Amino acid sequence: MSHEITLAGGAGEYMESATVVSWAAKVGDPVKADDVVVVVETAKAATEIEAGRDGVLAAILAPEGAEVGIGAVLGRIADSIFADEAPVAVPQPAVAGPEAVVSDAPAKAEAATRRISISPLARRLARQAGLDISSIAGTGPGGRIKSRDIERALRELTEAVPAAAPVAVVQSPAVARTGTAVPLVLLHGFGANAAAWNRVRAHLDGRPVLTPELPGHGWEQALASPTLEALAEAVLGQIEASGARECDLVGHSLGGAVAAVLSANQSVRVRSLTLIAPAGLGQEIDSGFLAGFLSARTVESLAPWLERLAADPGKLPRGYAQAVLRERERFGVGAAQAAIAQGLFPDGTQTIRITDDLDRFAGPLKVIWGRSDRIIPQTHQDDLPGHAACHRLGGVGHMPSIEAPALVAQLILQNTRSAEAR
Amino acid sequence: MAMMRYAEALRSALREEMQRDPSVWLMGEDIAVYGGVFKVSKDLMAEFGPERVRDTPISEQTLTAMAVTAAMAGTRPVLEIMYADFLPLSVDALMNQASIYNYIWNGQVTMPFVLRTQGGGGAGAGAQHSKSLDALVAHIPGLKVVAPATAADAKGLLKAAIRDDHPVIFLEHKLLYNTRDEVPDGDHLVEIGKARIARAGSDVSIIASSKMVVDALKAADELAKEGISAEVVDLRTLRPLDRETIKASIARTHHAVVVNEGWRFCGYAAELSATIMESCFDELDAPVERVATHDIPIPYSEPLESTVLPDAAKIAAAARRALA
Repeated sequence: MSHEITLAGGAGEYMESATVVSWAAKVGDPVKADDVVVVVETAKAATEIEAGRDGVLAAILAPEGAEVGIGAVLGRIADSIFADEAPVAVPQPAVAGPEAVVSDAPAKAEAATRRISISPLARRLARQAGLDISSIAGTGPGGRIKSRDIERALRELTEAVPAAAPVAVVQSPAVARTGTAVPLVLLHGFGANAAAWNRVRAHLDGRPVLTPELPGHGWEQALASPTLEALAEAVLGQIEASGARECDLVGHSLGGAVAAVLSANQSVRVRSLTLIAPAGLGQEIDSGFLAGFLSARTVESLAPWLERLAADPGKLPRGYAQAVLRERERFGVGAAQAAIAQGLFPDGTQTIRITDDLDRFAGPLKVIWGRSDRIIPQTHQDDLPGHAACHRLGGVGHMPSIEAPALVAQLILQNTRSAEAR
Repeated sequence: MAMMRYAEALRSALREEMQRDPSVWLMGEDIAVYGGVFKVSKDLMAEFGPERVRDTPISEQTLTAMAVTAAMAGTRPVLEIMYADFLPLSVDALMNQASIYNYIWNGQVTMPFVLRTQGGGGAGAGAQHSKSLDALVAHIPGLKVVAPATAADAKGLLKAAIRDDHPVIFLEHKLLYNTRDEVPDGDHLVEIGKARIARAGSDVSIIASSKMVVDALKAADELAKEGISAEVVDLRTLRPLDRETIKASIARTHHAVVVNEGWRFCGYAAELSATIMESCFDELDAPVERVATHDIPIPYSEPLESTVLPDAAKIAAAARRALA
């Protein structure tokens, strides 16, 4: 059923006729109830006439400039323009014939290049993360993509390749291209989760990636007794579940120490080892950070501690503190992480050692450290075995994977390529 | 620190500057014998004499031109215009004399005068006594325009304005005169051109001045109950505008609500909105929300007046729209 747009008498009591000034929609355009569709004018004033229902403007019976009397039908709204029985004075849309086929392609092209509503901030974040905004659904007004939508998309990117999903390894297009199904295993640090690798992942040339999580972090259950060996065993379980027989192993901070312990495991052969600001090479660790990080309950109290992680806090992800607090709230990981810190780093002292593990590891070994690391001093790499390559990054703090993701990815791939060359 | 009403803080600034510098003097309608309609200059004639605290006829156009020439002649007049609604009478002297003489005479004259006035609605004072004409004076190059929200800033900015060698328009608000807060002791000066963070927050920046800061802080309280952390930026000076503080705030919150009690169309809030769009575009996660007075004369009737003026509820609603 179509709905008539009429010039009602009530629009102005002295009005006998009116001139159509402008239509707000073209024939075929969708219209919404209560939106202005046409403006008419009398000697007194302009009057806006609103759509009486949702639909499509199916016909314009009084074009712009036309003089119309009270009660005149100005146009029709219908469910589609074809539903209108009497499209008088409407240019016929191309609905059939060869022209329709020809015009189909531009129409599709127009749909594909349809302007995406996105906030400037969200656009910038998407560009930095290398995300295609056309695949992101916006939750702002009118479907606008906001920064929260980008953050969600980045989270989903991580969760779409869950740690224990063998399909991610087998089906990756990189498998065929490189001729190897050996995954890169990325182990995050204390207090983080798999999302810590989001920025690095974008630069890994499509290598199959596994991002296991430490017990008491992200989605992983806490352990009753979280020793370094127990953490390593739990992570190994996740890697084994993927079906991988060998891997290139990367670990950051506490994840670096876990990676070192895993380097000698018997079930999944570790081809190469890349450690980023690893724990376990010296005694010092920033006790103030650990205490502040663990006891903070609000964004205001947590943010200053997180800022110590990076040389330039501006490089930390937006909403980082909120994300950490949300995870604590959702998974209750705070107590588990406190127990890990108490066991491995009591009173600001590292009680774990990985020197022997590294001495034994015969594959390519790279260590990456930020020169401005305020959490674990970069001088700890001075005592590494001679076969380790050391990379000291200027202007970078404890989070090279976040502060210099492209370079870190490049170094990781260098290390894995030298393992492949063997 | 001393608890002081806004009006008392202004009076203490006037008194201290008159004691410090004999070239400072006051003029205005009913400011001497009566002590000013809002009692800002109460008792100052008794202390400094009728030569330095002068009552004048009702002729704002002439008074402003007198202040301009007295300033050129080397004194430091502080002129009170009773209601900002009468500023249009002063505009010729401001726009064609005060703001340009230093420029067209190549710096040979300075213009150390202060024009104090008060504006704003909410008092049922009607269409001729309730306007906020911030945009009218802030539009003029060569004028500085300040609009303090607190007693401390009222004192510190008035002292700085009197010491400034260029014309300063000092905008007060009739509903602020009786508000109290802590004013630092001693020679308290506030630099012209520097905004302050009245309340720190992380989700949305509410940028306001004068009495709208009070409403913005109430809005922030309301929003906090909903888990929204609003930062309130008190501009204090409308011109020159402290763009750096605004930019830093929006870089933190990515959402902006601009508030001004003047009319919306071509108003001061529009200037803020354009500034943010130009300098913070890539930080914005939503369009700038603008809260201002409806584009009609200010009604006398209380329900109508409160409908057209901005308030805490409208500011909070704008913040929610920004964060939607």
